[in-house]
Amino acid sequence: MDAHNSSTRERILKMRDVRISFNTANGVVHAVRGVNLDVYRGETVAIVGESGSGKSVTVKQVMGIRSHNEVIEGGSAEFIYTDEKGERRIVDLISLSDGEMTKLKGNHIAMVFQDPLTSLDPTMTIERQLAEGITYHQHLVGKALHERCVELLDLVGITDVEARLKSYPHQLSGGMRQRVVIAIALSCNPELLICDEPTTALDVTIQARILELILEIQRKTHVAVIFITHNLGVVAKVADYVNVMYAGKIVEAGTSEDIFFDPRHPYTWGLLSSMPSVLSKTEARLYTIKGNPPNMLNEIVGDAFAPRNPFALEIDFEKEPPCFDVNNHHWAATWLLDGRAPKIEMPEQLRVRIAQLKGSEDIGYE
Amino acid sequence: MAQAVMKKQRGQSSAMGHYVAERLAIAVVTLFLILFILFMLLSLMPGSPFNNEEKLSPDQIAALRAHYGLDKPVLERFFLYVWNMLHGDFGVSYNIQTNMPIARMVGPRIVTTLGIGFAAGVVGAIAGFLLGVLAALKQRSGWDTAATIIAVLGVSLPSFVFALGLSYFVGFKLGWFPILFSASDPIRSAVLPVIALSMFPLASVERYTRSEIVSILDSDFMLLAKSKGLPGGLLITHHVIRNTLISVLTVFVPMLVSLMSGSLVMEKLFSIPGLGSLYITAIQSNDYNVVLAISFIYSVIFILSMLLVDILYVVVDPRIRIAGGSD
Repeated sequence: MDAHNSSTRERILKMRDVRISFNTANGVVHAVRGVNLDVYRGETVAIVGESGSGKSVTVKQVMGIRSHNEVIEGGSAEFIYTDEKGERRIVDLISLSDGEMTKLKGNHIAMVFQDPLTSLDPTMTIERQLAEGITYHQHLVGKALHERCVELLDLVGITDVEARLKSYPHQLSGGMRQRVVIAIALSCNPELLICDEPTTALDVTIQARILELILEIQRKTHVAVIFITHNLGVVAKVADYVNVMYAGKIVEAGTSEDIFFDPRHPYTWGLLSSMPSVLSKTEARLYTIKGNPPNMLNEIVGDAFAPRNPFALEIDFEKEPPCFDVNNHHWAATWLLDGRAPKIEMPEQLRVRIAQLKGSEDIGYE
Repeated sequence: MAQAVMKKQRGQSSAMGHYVAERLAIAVVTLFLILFILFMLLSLMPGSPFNNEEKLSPDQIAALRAHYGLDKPVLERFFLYVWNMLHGDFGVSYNIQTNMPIARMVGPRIVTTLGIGFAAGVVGAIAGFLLGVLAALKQRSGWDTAATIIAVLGVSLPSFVFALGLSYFVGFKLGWFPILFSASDPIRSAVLPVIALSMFPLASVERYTRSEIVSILDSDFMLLAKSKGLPGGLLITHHVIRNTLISVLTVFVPMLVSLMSGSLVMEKLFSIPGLGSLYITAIQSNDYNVVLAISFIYSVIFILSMLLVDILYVVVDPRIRIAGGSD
């Protein structure tokens, strides 16, 4: 994989220090605490983290999906795209007005949602739902519109297209509906596709097929994909780059190989150790990370992961670790990488497991 | 492939026809049963339909009973009634307007009552729906508060309060519309009762529409629709309205039925010659044929409305569409 050869890569999204909080009845929740993220054309970037780590909130900024109690405390999200006239344009998605955002949404940036069973309007045929965005953004009507719809359903691997176009969502299976949702997302040839846990609500066999579909579409269309998931098995299958998110911050980022074979952050160690694997038959119990994620209502001092971290240093409780580069495409925010830190290696069990994984073709999962 | 689709659609529409025919047949049977039960119950009612019966001699009573055919066995009378009814003859009134054919007596009242009730329902539904949409789209705004206040008032204040208020201010003080209903000017003189009656459906539909839209705006499919980058107006017309209508229909139609059966209070206040007051009088004076005819009309309205709802559901909600040749 030469994806990290930055000279040939075309950056599409550049998020810098994005900070978001929510005003709730209990106080201010600091959901996202300074996230940097880069997405390049034709590549897949995964954001992995537990529920509540802020991964969804982060990408929803890119789509301009904001709830009424949300406060953007700062940061920027530059999006680089080619407009209808063929001109290259750079906009900051965070400061964009709703009106300007509607021109980008569905057109240059699209999103696939978690639950295909509830994502489609029950009162509209598939064709009308598919056609809506195309008519609005690209002004296609009549026969050309219909042909485009047929083409899109073909692209997402739906057979008997004419009949399906006339179907209502309740007449399709879950996997089929997710294909339709993906077709809707792709309908205007977006530069950036956001997949927010697109396989979580599907059963395992369908999950694999939908993942393959997304990869195949990426090969065909060179769309950039941001993939949000809490499932490391999915990450291993799809991602070129992985960002591990914890308590509103990205704590480790690197290529898939970096994260799976050379993890540096104790939280990543924990995540990988707690991943079930067909190779790990010898292990009696599945590893779990002790404790709970911090309450984001409280101000976090030091490293947010420190209270759950068996390898925490004293400084972890006092000062937030900066990002330490492991190499030019891999960094982690942990004091363990500081030159003054004691030499602490990943747990032995995990080392054995990674060695096994390296030996096997697939990063075994499920 | 296209042919297969066409066939499927034809299959669906013929399934629809079949469904409606079946429902109509069931409705006819139901109405017949209702009529039978009503007839039997009325024949069990104590008292007599004749005025001043205590002053009549037994011979006179017997003669009257024979004249109206009341001396025959009850089953025979029932089938005779049904037979006559099928020929448009609902019998005559015994005492309210003696020997007046029921059709002539009840007919104009049905038109008035149904007309006013239906108009009130439609006005209330449209105004309530629009208010509900406004309140939901402008949540936590002045519009929302105003709509909520109207809804609370409409649901909690009895309709005669509105009726009296309208009569006094709009009818008497401003003199815009007549205070009393008159058959010679039925449209203008129906305005005040229609508005007064429409307050309850308006309030109910408004509250229901608002809560329905709020939950739809929060739904996953709206999130997807928004992510298509459609402007707000298209989102509302394409996705919100239809989904809201499905649930609003459920609360609205039963309300319309009760409106159309006539409000005694409104009839008294605006002196409307409607079904409600005639019904009460007829029950009190044992005017069997009048009671029977009005009860039967109510049943017909109710059953037809329910049938209409079921058909509308099918039109509005594809999930309920009959699975004709679906795979």
